[in-house]
Amino acid sequence: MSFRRDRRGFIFSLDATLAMLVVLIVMTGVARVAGPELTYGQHGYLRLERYANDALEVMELTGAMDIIENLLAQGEISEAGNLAENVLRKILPGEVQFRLRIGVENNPRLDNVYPSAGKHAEWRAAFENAAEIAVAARVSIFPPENVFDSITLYVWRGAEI
Amino acid sequence: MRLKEEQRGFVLSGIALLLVLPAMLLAASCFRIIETGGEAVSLQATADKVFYTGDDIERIINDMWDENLLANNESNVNVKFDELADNYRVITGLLVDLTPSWKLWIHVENNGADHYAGTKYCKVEHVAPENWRYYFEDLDEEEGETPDWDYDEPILLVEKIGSKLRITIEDYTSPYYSDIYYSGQLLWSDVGGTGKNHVGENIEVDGVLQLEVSVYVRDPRGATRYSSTVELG
Repeated sequence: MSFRRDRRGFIFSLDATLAMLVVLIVMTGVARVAGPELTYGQHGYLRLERYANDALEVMELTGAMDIIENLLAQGEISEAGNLAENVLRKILPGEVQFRLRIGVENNPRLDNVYPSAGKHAEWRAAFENAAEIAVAARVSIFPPENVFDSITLYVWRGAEI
Repeated sequence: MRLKEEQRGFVLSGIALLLVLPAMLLAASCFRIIETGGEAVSLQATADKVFYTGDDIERIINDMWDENLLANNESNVNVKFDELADNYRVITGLLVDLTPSWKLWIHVENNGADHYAGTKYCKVEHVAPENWRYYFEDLDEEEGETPDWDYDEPILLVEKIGSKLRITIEDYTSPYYSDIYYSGQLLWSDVGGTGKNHVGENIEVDGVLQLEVSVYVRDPRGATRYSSTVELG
């Protein structure tokens, strides 16, 4: 095909095609790096952390935490654990699992509150093997001595046991 | 250099070079965007932590006031704020500063000391739903005196009446004289002494504020901060 003098156009030569290929390869590579895995890595953890913080906030606002603290003060540890488990199960989505501890690690007032009663060894293993764990922590006043103690909620994504 | 007939290669012409250059620039920009995005999320997570901590500290301070932990007839209750801040520091890794500022205080004329509520020189007692008693000690250890810790120089009754506080001097058992202040406002001067000056008198002040606690939470990098003031009274 020959061009007449008054017809103008862009001739896409072989080297331009090769250059375009380079451009496309680079763009695909960048898109791959910024793919869904990275987006989850950034926002998924943020959501997990917000689940944990919001769950503790809801427990405070509904008064559930006060009841749990009073049960602990009365020595009714098993009832406090059951209540915490039920409340957290209702607040958190099914795919989010949790562990609640009230008090310090080496001498807790309440520990090993998992999404279902019993199977503590399995839950403990799931907690220890979780790929990603978000933590929310609060301080509360515990009767009758009115001392400060911590409330720590760990959450992770995983299947129910 | 001249290419021989059997030698083959790619000649990067002007147009090819021009197309490769924007590709490299775009790639560099995209990597920068991804890096910035990751940093923004990390900052958001830290900001969430700082916010939740600050908000929870406010709640606890209000609980401390409502449950009379600050007005339980004990001296030096300001240490409870240090304990609270330490607890939060340990469990969150954030830097937490709590600064209480009680509104009622005395200036002892004889030794020049200023004694504030919340310190070892004062006890506060919640005696009725809207009534508090402040018991001050006027002798000062730091001035080389030996306090008798009887906390009756003076005894002030503070009553909340609507949007005002009525402050009454109930007793002053000391030869010393003190000036009594509400925040920066001088309520009485030369109170007490052998003549028990002004004992039995009362003054009403505007506002019901008795204690202000400044809450300052930040992450160690200083990237996010939470600052507020809790007003109690």
